[in-house]
Amino acid sequence: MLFNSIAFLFFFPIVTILYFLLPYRFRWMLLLIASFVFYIAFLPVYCLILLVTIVVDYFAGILIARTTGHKRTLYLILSLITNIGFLCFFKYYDFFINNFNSWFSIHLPLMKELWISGVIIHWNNTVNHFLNGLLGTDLAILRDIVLPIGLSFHTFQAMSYTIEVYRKKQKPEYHFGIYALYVMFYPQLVAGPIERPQNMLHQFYEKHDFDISRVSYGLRVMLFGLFKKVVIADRLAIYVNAVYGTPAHHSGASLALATVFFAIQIYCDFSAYSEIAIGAAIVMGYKLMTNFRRPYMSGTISEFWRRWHISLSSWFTDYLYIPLGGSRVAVPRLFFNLFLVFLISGFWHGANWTFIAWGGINGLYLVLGRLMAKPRKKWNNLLGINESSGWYQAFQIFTTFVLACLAWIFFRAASMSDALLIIRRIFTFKGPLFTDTFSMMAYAFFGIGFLLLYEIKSEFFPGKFTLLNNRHWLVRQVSCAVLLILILSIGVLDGGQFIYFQF
Amino acid sequence: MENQPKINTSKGFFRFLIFLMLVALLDFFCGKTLQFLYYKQKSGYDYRASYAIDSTNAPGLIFGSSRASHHYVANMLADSFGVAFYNVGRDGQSILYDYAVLQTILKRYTPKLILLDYQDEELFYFSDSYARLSSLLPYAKTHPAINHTIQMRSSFEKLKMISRVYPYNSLFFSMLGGISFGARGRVEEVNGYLPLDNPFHSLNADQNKFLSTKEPDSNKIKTFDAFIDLCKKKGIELYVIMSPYYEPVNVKFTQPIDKLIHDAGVPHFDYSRFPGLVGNMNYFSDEKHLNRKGSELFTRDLISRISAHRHIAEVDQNLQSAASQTSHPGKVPASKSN
Repeated sequence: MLFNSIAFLFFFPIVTILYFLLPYRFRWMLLLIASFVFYIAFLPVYCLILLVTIVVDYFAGILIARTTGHKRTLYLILSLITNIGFLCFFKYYDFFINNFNSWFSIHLPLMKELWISGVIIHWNNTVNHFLNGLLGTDLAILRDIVLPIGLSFHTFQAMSYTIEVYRKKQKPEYHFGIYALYVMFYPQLVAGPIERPQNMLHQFYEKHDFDISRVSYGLRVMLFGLFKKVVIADRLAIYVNAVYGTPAHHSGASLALATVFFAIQIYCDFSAYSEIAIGAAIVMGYKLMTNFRRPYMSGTISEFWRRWHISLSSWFTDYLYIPLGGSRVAVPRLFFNLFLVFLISGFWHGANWTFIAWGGINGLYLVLGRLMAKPRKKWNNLLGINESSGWYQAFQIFTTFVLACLAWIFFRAASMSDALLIIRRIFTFKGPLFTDTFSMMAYAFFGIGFLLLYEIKSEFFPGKFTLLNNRHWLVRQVSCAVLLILILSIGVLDGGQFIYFQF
Repeated sequence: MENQPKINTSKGFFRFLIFLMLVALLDFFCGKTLQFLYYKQKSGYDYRASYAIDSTNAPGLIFGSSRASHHYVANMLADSFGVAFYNVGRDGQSILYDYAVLQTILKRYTPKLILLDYQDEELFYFSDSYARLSSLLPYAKTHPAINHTIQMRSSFEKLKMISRVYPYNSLFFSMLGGISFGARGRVEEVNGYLPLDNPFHSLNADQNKFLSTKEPDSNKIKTFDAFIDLCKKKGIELYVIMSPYYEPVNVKFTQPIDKLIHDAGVPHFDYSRFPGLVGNMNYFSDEKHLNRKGSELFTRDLISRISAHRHIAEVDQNLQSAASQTSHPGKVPASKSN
């Protein structure tokens, strides 16, 4: 179920009202059933994958806590292999096989040629035909196997549980339903934020009373998320898809504009999902971690990564970067660690060389950033540049944005050859600018202007000029009403999925 | 969240009611303003749609997609057939839109002649065909006949239509374009016909590959049938035409629609392999659209074909009536042709 769908407009209030009406001890059941319904709205059969990992990790957690020595490690490895195994099979199998086949001129079977794919497709289609006939739903009838929605997200969340239990930072969860809810909690099930057991599990035992101030705040967070998604992200997507769909037919100017649009689109799309998730959780009394903190206001790439997709960055820091030695190692090893973490982070996003390149470029940026830090300071001192001046900060923000945009080209391009073609064209900057319709560009620039003002206000004037969170209730109400009317009048209401669902 | 002022529940619900009232008021006033602006337009797609739905009384109408609007020179048809023609064709639309517009027109008057242009992709499923039905939303409240078509967009369309702003979603800037000074002369338009004057530019799209991935759309098939049936029922002279493409169309994709037209027994002209035009860049703006020169050549040929068909039909009719007179010599003919 999509957050920007009408189905969710019914689903969310029904679940929330039932949640507060139900006695406290039954609420976890309601949330679990609601999460199940939320997930099966995509592809019901894939619930089985989720169920298998939940069962394995649940028992692994208990066994890790109960045993000592090598056995604990064995159970952890078993749990990790199961989780990573599903991830590798569904997400990376075809990528590896395709590459092996082309490198060694062999023909290993692709996923669609495996008997298991036939079985999954058959099950899915039988179940979906039955449900579509019975409930009048529109569940997908598959021809080819598709990646389970949000697999990378809930796999990482599940892995963080067993790792934390292994590290003895988290007690095992004995209540199977609560553990299942930790993995399946519907607001963050398919696109995060990727939570940690220490932050989430205890919240399922706490009693959350109905608090209208909190509910109202949560709804405002959700409304702003929806605005970013349908008014800004989905509008920019129209231009980006048109240009990136056929890069060979577009000029450097159009490709450059589409790249900038994409940088804003992906930010609005993903942060909107996080905000709707966080807002929905707040309404019910749960606190999810912040996932974005105005990343395009960063002065350096390393700051960008402390502000962008924080739940994933911190996951990689906690479970990969620090175990590799983090920054407490020799400089060459530190650079290797940084580069490796970003390569893997890129690969996490998708099974394509473009994502690996995107990760690699970001890793390279960080390494170069560290290498250049001292010389840059020296030059600035030599040239008498005041690093705390507004102009210098603006310049830093601008250059960081440009660097991020360059990397986004690889993220958005369909292939490496497309990405290289786009870069070549952008740097030659020949040909006319594709402007689509006047209307389309006007809406796009309206959205960008709105976002820019909002980000500047939040970054440099926190707590000032607040509208949605103004202390006066009438200002809040009017702002929300205006936002809602803007969504209805200029939002792309037939827009598609959130970009990060594919991961 | 910690900074949020705490209030009690009853006060909170009261404020929520005020919020709902605010939304309703804003929606009403913004919706009314947008409606006013919408009907103030003097040019553009929306203006032409409004004209077709609410104003035209032309006895001859042309339906179809952008190909219809760029290919059929309404004035040439009018001069040849001696009746006014209006080109209802609209960019990106399909038979779903055509049928809805025809229904609204039939509520006002019955045209004498309709030319329905269809594409090679006419009966295939595209989600876009449904999304683009949003062009009909501004007319939903005043023309209940199109509600059935609007419902095809999604099962929640009725719910969305509660809002007065929603029908004008994403139309604000195009409306400004339509009412601004000099809007009327910005794009050349003659009774709905939009000539293209740009030199040939390739869309570089592999239509065969594209259509091979598409499934037939049962809604469109039913609607295409319904369009023909409605014309027959109303006694409208209907011609179903596939206007020229730059490249010959793959018969594999058009066979089902050709069969449907054949079974319906309506006159059918297929120009997809018209030798004078196909493959000649001088007559095309891109692979799918004729330019001004091409559209004039095509319309001229179409006029001669329709005239020939009418002549044959007239001769047939005369022969039939003569035959019936011979078999029933005592019966006096109701009318006599000259």
